[in-house]
Amino acid sequence: MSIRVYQQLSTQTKALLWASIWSIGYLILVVTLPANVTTMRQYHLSPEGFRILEILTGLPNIMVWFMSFYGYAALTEYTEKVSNSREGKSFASIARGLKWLAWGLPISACASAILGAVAWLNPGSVASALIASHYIYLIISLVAFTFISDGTRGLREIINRLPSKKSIRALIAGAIIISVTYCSITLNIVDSQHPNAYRLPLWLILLTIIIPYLYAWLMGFFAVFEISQYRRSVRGLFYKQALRLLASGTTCAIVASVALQYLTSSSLNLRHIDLNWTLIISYGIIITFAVGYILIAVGAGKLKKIEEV
Amino acid sequence: MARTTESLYERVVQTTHIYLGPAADRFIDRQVQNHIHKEPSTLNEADLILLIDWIRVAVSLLTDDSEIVEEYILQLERLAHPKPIGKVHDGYSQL
Repeated sequence: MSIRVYQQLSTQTKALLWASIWSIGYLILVVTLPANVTTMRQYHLSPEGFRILEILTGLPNIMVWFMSFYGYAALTEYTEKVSNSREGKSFASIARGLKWLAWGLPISACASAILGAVAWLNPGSVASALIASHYIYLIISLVAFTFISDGTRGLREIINRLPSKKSIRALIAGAIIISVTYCSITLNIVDSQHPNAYRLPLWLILLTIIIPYLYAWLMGFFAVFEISQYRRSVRGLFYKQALRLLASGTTCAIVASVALQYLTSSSLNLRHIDLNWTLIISYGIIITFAVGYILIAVGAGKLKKIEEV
Repeated sequence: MARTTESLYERVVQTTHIYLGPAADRFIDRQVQNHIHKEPSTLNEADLILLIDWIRVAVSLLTDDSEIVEEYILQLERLAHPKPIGKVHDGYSQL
């Protein structure tokens, strides 16, 4: 019976229902699980202080979850309207990728809370908990950016326009800067601490952390380029206005997601940064993420309206 | 005869493409099927006036910019009564 009721709900209502479930689950975890020892030590916090900090940082995060779930659901509803069109499959793939990015936020937050508690209860499992949290985030990122990249590639194939020399050079330069900076930061972390932050040998860090992350991020940045190329080339005054919002939103979501993953994967480097600054940077990123999904929702809403009138 | 009506449908879609891009053919199909109650490919000049009225209503729901709506309608009206064409909105100048 309840399954039948669930199936009758709109895509957006279902998404918001899931956001509510994740939020309640996360708050229960924060209140009931033991505090994360590593973070407590890192910022010299008492268990009570840590819990207050978790709730304070958790509430804005939960608002962002709702916005991101609402955003991807709005795009999914639009893709259902255009499922038989040439661009329909591509937008559906982008919506799937954005769904993974949106779901990645509560999944990684809950996983991090659970693994932190496991590490507190069993200090011998700190390494396993750290490794697991790194890989959970990495897998979500890889799947999300693969879907988004498939979608934007499909859109670029519709306009059948090759990137200009200038943009290819800019992309190559950007890829080199991101890759070298990330490698340098990560290897610096690995080299400066014993045991290293990833609790893995260097070759495994290189093969299973650095390369997959860079692969995912570069796919994400190329997707940003492809969707903006589609937006510039496609015709239709009203269509372009709506698409501009959708493309800008997708860009914000991808950039914020990469920034968040960058920050998380090199989090031990933040030890040198003041807690206030860490919070400001984190909030800046999640606000960008939320703004991205709001733009996606507005843009998808406008595109959907074009298909309904 | 069939070729002429098909050509009118295509020209209506082509004009609409300037404003609605890839959604143009779906939009025109919907207007013709829901309001003229015909197959889009059988659209003829006699249907065009009624179709234009419905398109005006539909597009007004998408934008508050009445100038663009009137410009679009003018382009469609020219399909019914072909005249030398003036400056056509290219769909880019406002972006």
